Amino acid sequence: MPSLFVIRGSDQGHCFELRESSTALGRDASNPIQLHDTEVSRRHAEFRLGTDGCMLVDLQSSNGTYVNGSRVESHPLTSGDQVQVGRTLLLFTGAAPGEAERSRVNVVVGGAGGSSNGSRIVHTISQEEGSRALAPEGDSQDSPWLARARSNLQIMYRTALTVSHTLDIDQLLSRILEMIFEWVDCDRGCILLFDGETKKLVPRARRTRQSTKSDQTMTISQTILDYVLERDEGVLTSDAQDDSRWNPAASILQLGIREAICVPLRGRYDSVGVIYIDTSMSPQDVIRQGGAVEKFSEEHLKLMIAIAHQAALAVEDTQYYSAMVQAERLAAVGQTIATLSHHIKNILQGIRGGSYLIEHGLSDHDEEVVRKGWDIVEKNQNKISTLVLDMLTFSKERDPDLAPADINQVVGDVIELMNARAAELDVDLQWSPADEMPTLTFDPDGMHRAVLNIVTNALDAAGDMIDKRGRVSVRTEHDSENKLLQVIVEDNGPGIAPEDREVIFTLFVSRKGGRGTGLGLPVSQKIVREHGGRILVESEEGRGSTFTLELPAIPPNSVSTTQAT
Amino acid sequence: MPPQRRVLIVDQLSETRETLRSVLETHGLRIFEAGGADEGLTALRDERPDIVVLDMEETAAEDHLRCEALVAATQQQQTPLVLLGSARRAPEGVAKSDVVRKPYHYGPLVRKIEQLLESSQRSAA
Repeated sequence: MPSLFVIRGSDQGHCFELRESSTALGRDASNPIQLHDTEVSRRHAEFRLGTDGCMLVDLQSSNGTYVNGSRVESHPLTSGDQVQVGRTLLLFTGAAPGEAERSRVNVVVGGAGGSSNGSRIVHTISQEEGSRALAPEGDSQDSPWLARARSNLQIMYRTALTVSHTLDIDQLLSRILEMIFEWVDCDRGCILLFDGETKKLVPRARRTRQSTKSDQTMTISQTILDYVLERDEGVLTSDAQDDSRWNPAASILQLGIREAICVPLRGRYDSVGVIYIDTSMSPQDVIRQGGAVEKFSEEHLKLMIAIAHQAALAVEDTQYYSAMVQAERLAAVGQTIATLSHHIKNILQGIRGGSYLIEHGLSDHDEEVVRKGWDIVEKNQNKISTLVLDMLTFSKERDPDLAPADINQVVGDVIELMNARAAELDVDLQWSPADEMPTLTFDPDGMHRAVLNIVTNALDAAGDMIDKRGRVSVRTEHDSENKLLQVIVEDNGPGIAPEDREVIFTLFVSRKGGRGTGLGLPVSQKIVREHGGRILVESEEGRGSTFTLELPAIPPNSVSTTQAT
Repeated sequence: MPPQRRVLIVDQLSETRETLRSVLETHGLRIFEAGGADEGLTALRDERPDIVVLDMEETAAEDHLRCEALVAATQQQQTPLVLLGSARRAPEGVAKSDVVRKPYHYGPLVRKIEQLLESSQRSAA
């Protein structure tokens, strides 16, 4: 299935499959491919699948659609094309043609009775020799050599280009075979890789030319594999008899001739596997052509060795990459657990303190101590509920639960909830709702959470001020002209240092010392982005910060269209 | 009536200090608070507490050296010290028995503080 992989931008790492005949891309949540990129138009472009491939059509976007660096109105896509919209870069991968058999790799190594048993090695070429496939032969400078060298150079260039575009190993292998089939007249091909754990060769990809029966089991001689791997040499084999010219041996007339090339996938340090291709000539063809014509030559073998080296490097890179991703994932999981454990430990410490006081107060009949203990328990109970809700919001991909609601009401609730905290910190919390605020469509619970986290931060920042009284002002605005809804939270706290501005939205990064979980801002940003909006930050050190939550203002009657996604 | 014993709590989190203060006050102790190592050093000099309770886990890596300075100062003044956090991060010269691992229970912590106060009083006498 054709797919798009986001290689740069805020949705980096996402993969979108093109299942429908037309798939829209844009910033709006109604698009199957929703990009959280403010420079992408609401409906930016469309991918249309036809019989002859995939067409990218720009939907009169304001910033344009680019394919491999050129602006396009409509453009057919081929595998490896890079599509740029706004600040997002996507890699297009087309569906492999029907011949590729990724799911069923039917290859047997050293199966009994395989025709390759009778094969003999016609040529062998070592890795070093193969790498000279492009080197001039002696002093010959004439044009046939030049033409061939040019064509080889082009093949190598295209190989390098193709293998550099993917990090999915199966996709990579099937592309390598696809290319080999383009350049070498072979009927069947397969790639075997060493299994990471068992160290045994395992068939990973297979391809047959459409004219060949594909349900056959492919048999590769163990002897040839051993030869190739032990000596690190590529081999060209043929089961035709010693004389390469027409040989009237009956077996050839019955079975045809099979030629094969097997080359090691030689990486930086070791062989990662082998590539095997073969071709057979039916008895009819042998008779028609008046003899056994060799389809594979030494030239093919050299080329295969060079391709295999490129492919091996790509296979290694892919394997390193997935190992690295796995390691990074484990490290991230470890860090997440450590961070969360730390917060939970502190909350537990508080609850234990509160319980201790309650117990003490009860046994001493001291109601004041019980009250103190209870306040501490309650405070920590709130903390754990905030932590759990933030974790839940962050943990899953979700669509906002859109409903007609009044943002003044939602923000008003947050202010009411935070009044006690403001009083505790001696911060003046001001609230000015917009005079005219229509009922709009958004996720009221989500926005409550998003605004709450921002206001909590503002109060903490303003509460830190020693030389002046802390002040936080919150207001809402409706910009009917630009169809925007804004919640603006301003504080007179210490401001954000320029070097911190880049990281404040990073998960688990907190500049509030032990007080912050590092979840608040990422959660607010996630919620706002899910609405197709953004959070703007202005800050001046020593003067304070302003956070603006900006959402598209969607009137209630258009809810149904938005929810139809 | 013996004079009220003085405890200095050094912890970055105001809420943790408050909880500890409430707990220790019910045991008739007088509490001083410091939000960081530097503040702690000043309080150690000015208030001459009988014991210091220091949470090292909450302090950032760059403050670790300052915490060690505070620990050194308490040792110099022969003021007993209880360290909250993990023994691994404890500075040299701090006895393992003076480290209380988090999350701790308040009962044993209170008993440890009272014990240390008692023995330092005895050795001073």
